[in-house]
Amino acid sequence: MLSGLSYSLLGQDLLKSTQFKGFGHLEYVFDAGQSKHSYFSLGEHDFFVTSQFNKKISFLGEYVVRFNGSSATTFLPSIERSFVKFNTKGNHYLIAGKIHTPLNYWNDVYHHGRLFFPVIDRPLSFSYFVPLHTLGVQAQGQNLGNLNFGYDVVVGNGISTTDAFSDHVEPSVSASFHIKPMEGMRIGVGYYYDYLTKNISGAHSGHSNASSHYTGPRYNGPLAFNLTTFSFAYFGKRIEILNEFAYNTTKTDTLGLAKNYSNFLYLGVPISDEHTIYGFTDIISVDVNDLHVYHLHKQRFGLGFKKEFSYNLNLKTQLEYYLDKAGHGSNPYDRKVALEVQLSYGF
Amino acid sequence: MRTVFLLFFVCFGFIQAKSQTTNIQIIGNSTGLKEVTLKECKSIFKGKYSNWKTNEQVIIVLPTSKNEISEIVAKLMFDGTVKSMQKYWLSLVFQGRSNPPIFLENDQETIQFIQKNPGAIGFISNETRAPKGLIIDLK
Repeated sequence: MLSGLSYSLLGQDLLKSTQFKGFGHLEYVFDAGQSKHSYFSLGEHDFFVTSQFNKKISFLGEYVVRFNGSSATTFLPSIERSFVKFNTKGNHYLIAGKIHTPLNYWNDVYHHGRLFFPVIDRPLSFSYFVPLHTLGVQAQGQNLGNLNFGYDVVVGNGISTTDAFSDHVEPSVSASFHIKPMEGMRIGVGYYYDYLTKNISGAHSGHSNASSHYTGPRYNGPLAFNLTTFSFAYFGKRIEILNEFAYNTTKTDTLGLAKNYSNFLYLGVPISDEHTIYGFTDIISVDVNDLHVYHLHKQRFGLGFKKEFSYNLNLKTQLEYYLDKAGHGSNPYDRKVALEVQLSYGF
Repeated sequence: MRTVFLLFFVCFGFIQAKSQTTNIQIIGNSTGLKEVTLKECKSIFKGKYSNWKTNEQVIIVLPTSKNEISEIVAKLMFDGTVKSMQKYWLSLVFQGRSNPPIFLENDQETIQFIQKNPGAIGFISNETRAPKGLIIDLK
């Protein structure tokens, strides 16, 4: 596809060029939990567009179609990223639109491209803490100086908003900084703050107030949400390491300060140009007095194998062990083992 | 004896890298560069820069897998295979942190494209005669 696009560019002005790409994935899951089941699943399909308006201004859009049981067609589209990027000077940019909140390595690098994921799923924190999207304005710098310093500062609609409306005045604020001291390595920290007047999870949270594990009455008063992240990524020829740490606090007048944390650690060993064996641990713990996610404690451990057929097609096979405890402390852990296979591609 | 072996391998590695650079040449249009080091060249082709000092936008031109020089460029610039070069750029573009490079199949296409687009930089075979004003020396 790349060569085909390039041909069309030969006789044209590059700056009027638009490129289209697609990403998608298919999955098979065998869940050996209490209610054993297995199924094939058609995953997210991602339409990716880049275009240049002139030398300084470009556009990027990422539009995803995914399964949704409540839809008449069982699939719903969503705009995951859609922004205009203005190159202010050198490697500095101003961005306006809907972005993936650049809080940690995963959310800033992999987006919805399963092809690039080192394992099959996102870290657990993405289902509870990490505000996946922000609609607003962003100042970005990258590859500055010898350490390849980068910054991202974002002001935009917060967790409780939609892509078209917010019920309060205060925007969310996030800032992240990273360095790339050597080839394949990126070390970064990030901070996010949002004040939720009614404790609602809207379009940008990627999660929805504990819909899966908390069934009691929900707190709908004001809540201050803070998230601090630390990421270490190294993808070398002999070893791959990714650690995503998140420390989240929520504060309410009702129950005060709740302290939550999560950590995802991935270790991969490429055994050839096409094959990688890997393992990971993932843990999330939410305080008993948290009124946004509500109390839970989950862990998962996995071992997997990745086969790359080409640069744009890979197959991951993964065995996972889950420990899951939601609600009050006396509940025992739910345990289960699952086998997952994912075919992911880009074209 | 061990030192002799070490010396041999160091020299052999250097000669190999040198022979690869002598198989290809860099050409660019309005980049402001007349010569470039290998380290700097790698940074350019890995998308480190957005603009040249001439204020032109950096436009990366890379060989497709069908291009005869693709393996040399991938080895020299990305220290890997053509697949790893393609994967690197697909990921970078998807992140939204760089504009897509242009992949071309042969030297003629590369020369033609670079001549038409100020800020474009790419590789051609050393056997191909490059327009004089476009050549950038690799130090």
